Amino acid sequence: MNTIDLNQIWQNQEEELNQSISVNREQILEITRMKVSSALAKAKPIKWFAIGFGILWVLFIYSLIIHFLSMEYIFFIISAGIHSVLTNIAIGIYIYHLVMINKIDNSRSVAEVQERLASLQSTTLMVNRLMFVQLPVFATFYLTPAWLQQMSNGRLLFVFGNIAIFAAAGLWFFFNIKKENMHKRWFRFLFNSQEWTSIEKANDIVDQLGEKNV
Amino acid sequence: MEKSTQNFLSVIENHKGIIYKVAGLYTKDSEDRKDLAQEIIFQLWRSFEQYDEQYKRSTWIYRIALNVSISFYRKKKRRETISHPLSGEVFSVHEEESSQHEDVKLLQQFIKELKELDRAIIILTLDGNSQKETAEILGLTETNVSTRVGRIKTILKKKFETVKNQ
Repeated sequence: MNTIDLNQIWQNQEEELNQSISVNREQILEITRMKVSSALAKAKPIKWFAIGFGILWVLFIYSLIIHFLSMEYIFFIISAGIHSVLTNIAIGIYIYHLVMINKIDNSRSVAEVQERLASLQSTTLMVNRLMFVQLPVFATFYLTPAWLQQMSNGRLLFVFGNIAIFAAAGLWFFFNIKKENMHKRWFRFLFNSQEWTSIEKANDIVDQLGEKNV
Repeated sequence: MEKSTQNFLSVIENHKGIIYKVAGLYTKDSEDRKDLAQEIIFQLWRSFEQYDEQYKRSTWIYRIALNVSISFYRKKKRRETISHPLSGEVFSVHEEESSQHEDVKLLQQFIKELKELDRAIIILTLDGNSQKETAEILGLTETNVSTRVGRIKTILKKKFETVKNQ
């Protein structure tokens, strides 16, 4: 079969289509009367819940920081401060992601739009990296200078060992939560959701676009 | 009726084939095709006022139709991606698809088996777009389009030969 045959078959399809389909003007008019809802209004309830819960959580942490604001609780203030700053950044990135993903101009070239989509969807990875990199603060927030001074060497070793393990785990997750590891078992175990399938497929398109400048 | 609405209706009327074909080749069944065609038209309407006249109208339609279709194809729960569900269908089909020529059905099936980007390249090529136009719509280089078209046509030919020789 040669090229002309493929074109001929396609041409047959064109003729069949032209004869068989017609536009329902009323339905098209209905579309033109639809309001374009804002990006955030389109977000699913679970995403609204995540943003709302995140904001309330950060406000709660701020109130604790204000309540315990003294040198006596310096470890708690620094830990809670780091936690709230990183959580704020994560919430900001999440909102940016939701807004930008719905503002993409589909009339740009397919390569440009799909690469932009994949890059925006990858911001979800950054949110998770930020949540994990703060693991060490969960091993320091309860410490106080007075308590540390009273601790035995064995107890101190246990406390700092704990902090080191949390820090190492946080850094490991920070550097390993990336698209290259999405197929790995630990990754799927931790983040098995539809959102990751979307990111994976978005990256698949980018892979297909690879070597586009041959 | 406003002038822009009238213009939009005539654009859809003149390019209905592109929308219907693209929607069909990126979906598995008629229900998904209906939803995708509707979503493409909604996105076309959304961008209608911002249409950049430096591009041909068909280039603008292909870009939106393909981008929406590729994103729609990626979703697991496709119905959830529809911005505003309609009660009816945007296109009426007068003849059953079962009456289509056997080769047309085979070609559609083989195109659906291709990867999303290859699917877009062959649709644009068979629709008569030049390699320059195809490259412009997709954001690839002409050389890349040319290489890929040759490879895709070989794949399709082989699939036809396999079926015909059975």
